This record gives sequence, C-alpha cells and structure tokens, in this order.
Amino acid sequence: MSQGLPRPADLRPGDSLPPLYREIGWEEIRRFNRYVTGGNDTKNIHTDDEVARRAGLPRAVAAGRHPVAFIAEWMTDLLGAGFLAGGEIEVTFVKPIYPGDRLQLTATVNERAEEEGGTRLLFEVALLNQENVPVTVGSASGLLLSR
Amino acid sequence: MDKPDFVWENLSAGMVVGEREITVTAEMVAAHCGAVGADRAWYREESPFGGPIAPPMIFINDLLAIYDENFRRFGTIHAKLAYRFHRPARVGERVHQRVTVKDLYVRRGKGWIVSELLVRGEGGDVVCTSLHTSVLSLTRAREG
Repeated sequence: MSQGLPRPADLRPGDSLPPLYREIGWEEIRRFNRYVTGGNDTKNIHTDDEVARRAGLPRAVAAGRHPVAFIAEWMTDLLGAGFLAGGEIEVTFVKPIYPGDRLQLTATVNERAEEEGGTRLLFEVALLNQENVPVTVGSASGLLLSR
Repeated sequence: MDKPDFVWENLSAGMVVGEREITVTAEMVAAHCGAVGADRAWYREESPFGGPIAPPMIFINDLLAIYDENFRRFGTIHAKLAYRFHRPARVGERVHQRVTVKDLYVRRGKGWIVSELLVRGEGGDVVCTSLHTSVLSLTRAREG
C-alpha cells in the first residue's frame, strides 16, 4: 500500500500525489511471466535477452501492462471503492522498460468533474525510468466517495 | 485442428475471437497479487463489496489468453491500453469473457489491431472492459 497519500477530497487541479517508486528487476519480470504463462518459466522477449534480440529489440523488455497494475493499485489506495467501481485507466507505452529499471509513478490532478455518480478525479499519470524519461503516459480517474 | 496464425488476413473488425467462462478463485487472486506486488485486505477478507474481491487488474492477461486459445500467436507488442472498471469481481464468482476485434488499420507501414475484452458477472452486468491496441504482423495488408 502507498504511504502518505492525501485525502482525495482535498485534491484540486494541479495537485500532485507524492511519487511512488517501483523497481522492475529480472525477478519481478520472471514472476510476472510465470503468472501469465500459468506457472511456466518460458523464454520470450520479456525473460531472455537473446530471444529479444532475435525479435529486433536491443535486449529483454518488461511487459508494458505489468506496471499498469501498479497504477491501478495506487489509484485503489487513494480512491478505494471509487476506483474499483468507476475507475478508468488509459495509457500509451512510449518507451520500453528494461529489467532493472526503477520506475517513478507520477500523478497530477487534471480535473474534478461532476457526473451522475459523484465527482470524478481525473489524473494525468506517467511512469518515468531512472533517467527521468517517460516510458508510459496517460490518465487515470475514479470517483470521490463520501466517507 | 491447427489454429490460424495471428496475422492480418485471418482477422477482421467485428469478429468475436473467443468467449469463455472462468471462476475467479482465491488462488488466482493470490497469484496475481504475487505477480504485481499487490497487497490489500479486501482481496482476502471483507470488503465494501461484501466479501473478498479480486484486484482491478485481475484479467490483465485474459485477452491474450483467449487469443492464444484461438490463434497461433508469436508475441504481441502493446502500444496502448484502456481499462474501465465497473465493479470488482468477487472471489468465487463465475464471469463470462468475450474478446472482439474492434478495429484493424495500417499506419506508417505497420499493422495495428484494437481488441476488446468484455467481462460480465454472474448476473450479466459488466464487470470491466479493456481496449488493447497492439502491433499486428502484416502479410497481405494494404495501406489505406
């Protein structure tokens, strides 16, 4: 769970969440691969440099959708049921993520929009690598629930 | 029977790639949490939705799994992903999944495919939808 998150009701456009850091090392990549292949340790562009090079990549790359789960869990930490029932994520993968990359997740409020189910908090989100280069960019949103 | 290759000529916009029903189990949830480093009591115990629920991204691999059940796929490079979470799936719930090709196009010499995963719960209500835009191998594709 993320620590130090603000109260979502207090967030206004322009406010940013404290960044979250997650590392995607070989072990994380292999664990994710084992999960998506039903428990198998397969060689593919995500788990093996040689297979990746044969596919035209410089070396193995993490699955782009893997860290999208980090965004979803982060938004759930912040918005709880308002993300699980009413949340949205839209992302574009702009650069590969390589084994060992340390990702910084950033989220800045773009808009508070009133809609039928309540107030929607819309964030601009990004994953930056350790060189501060965006690797995944997009948006995430969820509903503010009164607690 | 051999499955068709996952290439342009074997796909068309509107086609249903496959459908299936699966049960969301506690073991699936635990495996997902281990794979993505998620940890939340709601996934194991009580939640505001009445009992344990699955993480929002529990179906992270199911679109590709359904493609693999119906096509010979050689890997997929995703460019974009979009998710809409209507409600969480409950642990123990049987859900229906359907993958549909929403669009196929060629841009800057590359083939692209937009696929949708639609997940419905036991009552037929929508649990979540996701749109996946990925590179598609061109065989006889034409720009246009």
